[in-house]
Amino acid sequence: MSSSPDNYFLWQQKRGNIVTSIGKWVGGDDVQVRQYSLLKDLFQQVSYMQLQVLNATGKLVSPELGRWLENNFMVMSYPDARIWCNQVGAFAGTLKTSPTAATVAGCLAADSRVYGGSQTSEHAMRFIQQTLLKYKAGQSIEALVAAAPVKQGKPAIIGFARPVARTDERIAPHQQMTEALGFAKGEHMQLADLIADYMQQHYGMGINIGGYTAAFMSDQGFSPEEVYRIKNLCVASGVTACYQDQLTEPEHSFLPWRCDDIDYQGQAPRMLPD
Amino acid sequence: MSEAEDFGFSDKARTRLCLEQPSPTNPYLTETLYLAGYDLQQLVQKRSFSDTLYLLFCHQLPNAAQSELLEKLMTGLICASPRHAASRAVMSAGISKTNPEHLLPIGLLTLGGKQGGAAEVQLAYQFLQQHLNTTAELALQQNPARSRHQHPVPGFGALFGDVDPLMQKLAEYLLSLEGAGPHLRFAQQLATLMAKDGYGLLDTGLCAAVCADLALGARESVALYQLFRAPGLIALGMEQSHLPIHALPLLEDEHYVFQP
Repeated sequence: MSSSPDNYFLWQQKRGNIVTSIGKWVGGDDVQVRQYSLLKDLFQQVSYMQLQVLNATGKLVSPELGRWLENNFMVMSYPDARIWCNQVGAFAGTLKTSPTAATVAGCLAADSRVYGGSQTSEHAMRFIQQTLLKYKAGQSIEALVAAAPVKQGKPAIIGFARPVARTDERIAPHQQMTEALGFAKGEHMQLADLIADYMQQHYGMGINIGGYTAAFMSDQGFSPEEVYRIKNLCVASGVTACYQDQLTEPEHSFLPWRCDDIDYQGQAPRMLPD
Repeated sequence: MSEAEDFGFSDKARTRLCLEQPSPTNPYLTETLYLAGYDLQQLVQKRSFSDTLYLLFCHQLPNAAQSELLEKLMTGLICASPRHAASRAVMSAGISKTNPEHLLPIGLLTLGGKQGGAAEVQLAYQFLQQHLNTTAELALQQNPARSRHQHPVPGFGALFGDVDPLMQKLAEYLLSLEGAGPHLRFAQQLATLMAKDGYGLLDTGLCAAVCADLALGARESVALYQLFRAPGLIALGMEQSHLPIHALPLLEDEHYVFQP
């Protein structure tokens, strides 16, 4: 294909211009957030979480859903420096890294396919949404679980079981909150309950908070990608706590290892060839 | 966390890379550091940075041809255009007086994407590996191009609507080296076939092909691409950090079109 101005027409159009529907700052006057005025329609009228969801998805959710998500964020981030992302915050604290860098680094660490609540929610939502279609098409719970990959003799289904505990302490409070806020149990949650019962009965593994959140947010009409965007910083507060905890401690003093605390399994010392 | 159950976590970290011989008087201090068996002091004296880099990932030293190929790739990718999205991100941060220690992470995070970023390198690496034993024609038949603004296959596509001449020249030079291997040759065959559609080898695809020829690992190639691009990002960001904040354009209202 020969090069011509038609090839780069798109970039010519966009050069020196921003065209957007997300919002606009009008200096000294107001700010538009989608179709809303930030100062007239949203300020003091919606929660920060509602605004965050609006910015992440374009949807202005109800105060109840905003409240649900805010409470959900609360239990995604514990001040316990054994958790991987929090370790990152703690290590950053011992080096007196800036609080922003420490927190961002911890959040980035939790952008993981095995834990963290953001990427895992995306995976879990894909699973529950695809599985619901198969279930409606007539597949049994047994067959759906049997189709999952097996790790250490058990089905590895994202949203069910955890790397460090069998029972997720956040499920019962979430069930109570969901009911108290007036949310009915939708078809994704009903399916999640069936899978959880089956997994509990056969493998001693129940639903975890990622699976519960995935089912709930699917019932609320969100896509996996939207929830990934909403929850991308959900571990931040625990990371900041662990960072703060180590700020005044001596350098390298968080969980220090001696040389012999590492098991070396590589090549024995050898001479460098000339 | 349950105290009673064993979830299989190890008592100790393990590594095949670093052996630290402790100081006789302080078990936390390293007297001698061995990298894949070689004393760091000897590596410092006798080997280049790129040879030592190769050692970290392959646990053996490169031969002369591998060493040259890696060194030339690193030089070829050392500085992306100041118009590249990652460069623009780091320049925006630099001019707005972001802490200097944040500039490189900002550039690297921006560079991490699946389309034109580091994550694409792994996809390109896997694509090349999967199709290496087929013909370039068959590989393209099995992966028909989608929309004009998406990469037809990972690591290959158009840059601003055309073949990237800079990467094409770099690929041709790297192909002339003794260390060039089957992945790079296959990548070039693909690029040649795609040229009629205005597609070619992208920097991500080139990095993937060379990393595959050097057996550096698909996942490792993601971070190595970021490392290779890092020096230019630092330099561009730091350069802007020394300039006044108004030395970069800030769009006027009339060029910001809000369409709710």
